[in-house]
Amino acid sequence: MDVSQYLEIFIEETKEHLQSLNEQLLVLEKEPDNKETINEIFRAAHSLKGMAGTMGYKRMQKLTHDMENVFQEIRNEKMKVSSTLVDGLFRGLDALEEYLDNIVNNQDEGTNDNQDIIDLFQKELQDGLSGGATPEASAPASTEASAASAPAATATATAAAADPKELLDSFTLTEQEKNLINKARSQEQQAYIVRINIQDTCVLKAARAFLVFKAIESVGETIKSMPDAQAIEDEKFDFSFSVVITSKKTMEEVQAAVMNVSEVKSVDIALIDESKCEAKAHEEQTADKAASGTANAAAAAQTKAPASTSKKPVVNRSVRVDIDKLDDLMNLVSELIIAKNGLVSISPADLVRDDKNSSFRDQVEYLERITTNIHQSVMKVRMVPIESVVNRFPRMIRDLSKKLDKKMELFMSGEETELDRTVIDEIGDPLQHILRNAADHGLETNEERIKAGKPEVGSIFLSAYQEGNNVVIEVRDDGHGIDVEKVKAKALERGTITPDQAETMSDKEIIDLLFRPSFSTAEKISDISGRGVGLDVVKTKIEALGGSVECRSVLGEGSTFIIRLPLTLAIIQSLMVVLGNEKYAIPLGSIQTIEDIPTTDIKYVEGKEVINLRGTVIPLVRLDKILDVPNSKQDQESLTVVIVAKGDKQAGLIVDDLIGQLEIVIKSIGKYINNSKMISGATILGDGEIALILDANTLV
Amino acid sequence: MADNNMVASTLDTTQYIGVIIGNEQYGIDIKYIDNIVKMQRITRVPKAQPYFYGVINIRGEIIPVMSLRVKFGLEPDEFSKKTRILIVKPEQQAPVGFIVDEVREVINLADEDIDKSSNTAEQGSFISGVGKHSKGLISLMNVAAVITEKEAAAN
Repeated sequence: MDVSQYLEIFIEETKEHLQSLNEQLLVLEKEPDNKETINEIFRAAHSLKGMAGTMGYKRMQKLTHDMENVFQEIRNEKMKVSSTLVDGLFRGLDALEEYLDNIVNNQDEGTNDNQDIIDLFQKELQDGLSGGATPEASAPASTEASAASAPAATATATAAAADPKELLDSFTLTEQEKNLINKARSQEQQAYIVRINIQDTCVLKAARAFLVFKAIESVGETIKSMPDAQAIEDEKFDFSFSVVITSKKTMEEVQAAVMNVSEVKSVDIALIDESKCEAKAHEEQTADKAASGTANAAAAAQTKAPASTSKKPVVNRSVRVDIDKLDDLMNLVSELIIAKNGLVSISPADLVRDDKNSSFRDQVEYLERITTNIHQSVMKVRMVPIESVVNRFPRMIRDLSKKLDKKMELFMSGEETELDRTVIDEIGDPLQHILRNAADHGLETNEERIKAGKPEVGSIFLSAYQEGNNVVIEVRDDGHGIDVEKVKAKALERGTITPDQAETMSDKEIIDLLFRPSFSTAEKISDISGRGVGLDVVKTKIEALGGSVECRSVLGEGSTFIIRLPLTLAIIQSLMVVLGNEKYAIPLGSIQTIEDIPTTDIKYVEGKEVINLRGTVIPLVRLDKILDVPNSKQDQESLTVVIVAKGDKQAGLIVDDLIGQLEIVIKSIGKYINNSKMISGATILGDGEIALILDANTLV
Repeated sequence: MADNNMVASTLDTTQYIGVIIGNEQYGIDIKYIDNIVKMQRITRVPKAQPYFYGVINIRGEIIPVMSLRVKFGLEPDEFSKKTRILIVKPEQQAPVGFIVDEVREVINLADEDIDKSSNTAEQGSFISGVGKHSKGLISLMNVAAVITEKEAAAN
């Protein structure tokens, strides 16, 4: 059977499960006795195994199977969670990720058997299990595990044979369900119990089940299903499941309709008579627990897989939009239509008469309000919590801790801070890099920490929060900080700066040297960081996103990297300025101040115009010259200068006039026009006119 | 519309928009034409190639506009009531606006009416062939070449 069409789903779900396994394992390491966690892990591992098996990835299945065995024993409290065991399990997860990568890249799991990891698990199993520590011990354990792990809630559905009586006895109804059946019966419908047996070769049982439900919908109504709908959707059933339906059709017709679905092996059907509905009523209290959908699964879960007890882990699978946000949008669109109708109803004759103009203006104002709100709503839809990026870091820090033999812990806060999707996609790598830096270079070794009177366990803090139109992500460590003198010496040695420069540079300027290409102060080059390709890449990437990064450090107390990112890339706040007859937008983010400078204050340094603004010498840029603007009127007594900054550098842009602040939508001017990068885009103003957006970074 | 074109219109014909640039008539394959708009205010883009007059706003989309006159080495445009901007959308590429002196008509040309081996290529590769119709000859513009050659010049 060709499974390629399900590959995408498989990949997504596998990622989801691996992430959840990673997270839960971390929890388990800290709280080895946490029952819920181990159940969750078990469930994820089990689903993984099932999925890999269905997709025909045998190696992946084998590995997960062995992992599952380990979890099984932990769950049965026959094994203790040890650090080495968790290490092994993490290695297993990494191997699974490797398989997944291979699958993503060439639709094949690759040929690595990871036998060593499997052997490790087997060994752990033997060592962990009291008693029979023979190699055979793992074999029964594994069969036991796979048997026990058979999907929950199948017992009721599969055990019974095709015998109608048994079929009828295989389920019970709640009071509500009986009412539904009785009501249907009063409308000349019949109630049936239908058991669908799906072919053993069926690959996506859930999809098949869905089609069966569709087929049933066409002939009647589903009252209940066993296992319940959620479990079926999650494929937590073997090869058969049962449904109670009401229908006007005869038994044969219903059966035929269901049989029409391909890959259905057989359909058993029986009529539910009144006696069933009433007789069971008395037993209800006892029967209810085992019968009603979720309880059924839950009861089974106590002895079998912890199926429906654990909630689904929340991971970004695709575009997930909060339903409230969508509702908001929908409401606004309705209002928009009302506003449009309002405008339509104003007849042209009304427009001519002055007195009626006010109603027109009202409508326009109304429209304006709605569009602003729609805009905000749509922007909200684009926002994604930063959690989806940072949730993989705790695992990374744990691994680094082992690898570097330093004790450290990661504290995260503000994971719910939202950022534009495009930013989220790009920010992962730079953040990871900074974290690795903090772990490798920032934190001292355990001995050094103790000597310095610090707690042995180093701390790394990752916090995200919103600040105006920016989102700030801070990575702070309580390590030894950056040794400015060391950086300076290194810079001199490398010839990055001259001795003269070194004299006059402030500490901050020296720290900023770290962001220069090929600059690493790590004496030891490790495979974690320190190849000197790091921070400049981080900086370039963040700047490409329209953000900025800076570093603060106190020697002996630690360093903080502060990343500022725009909330969104598509819409920015800007200052509108006039040059000649043209309008330009300067992003507000790069503007520091706006000054009125008398022409007499202009000084010349090396033939270039500069001003001395409160002690800082700032070069002036005559925008009209650079942009070849005709009819500029700048030769007045006083100049309007917009001071922009890029990092520590500043420049004064001379403009004719200011219009004001405006929220603008950035649009590309396409690739055809060659414009030397001064123009980063264009925006459409309220009157349909286009204003170009100046990239202040290229002008400084 | 010319009669002989009408006859052949069902079989192997291509429709061209006839435009005037300078004193020549050009035909642009209708499949490339997205829109034809009247002359409107063009926002100048500094440091752009001389034949790019700037950008215009077509229903919220920003589209660069080029002058075919300048591109073809003719006198700069004199905008009149007849001046039009053709929004051309080449396959796989972003739309671009062509300023032309006038848009005349839609011309049906059968394949046999097109002389592709034309050696009258005064403007080199901008012409993909010469079409013959009742009112005379029409140069068929090679839209892709006009755009790609321009990109090469940009670099």
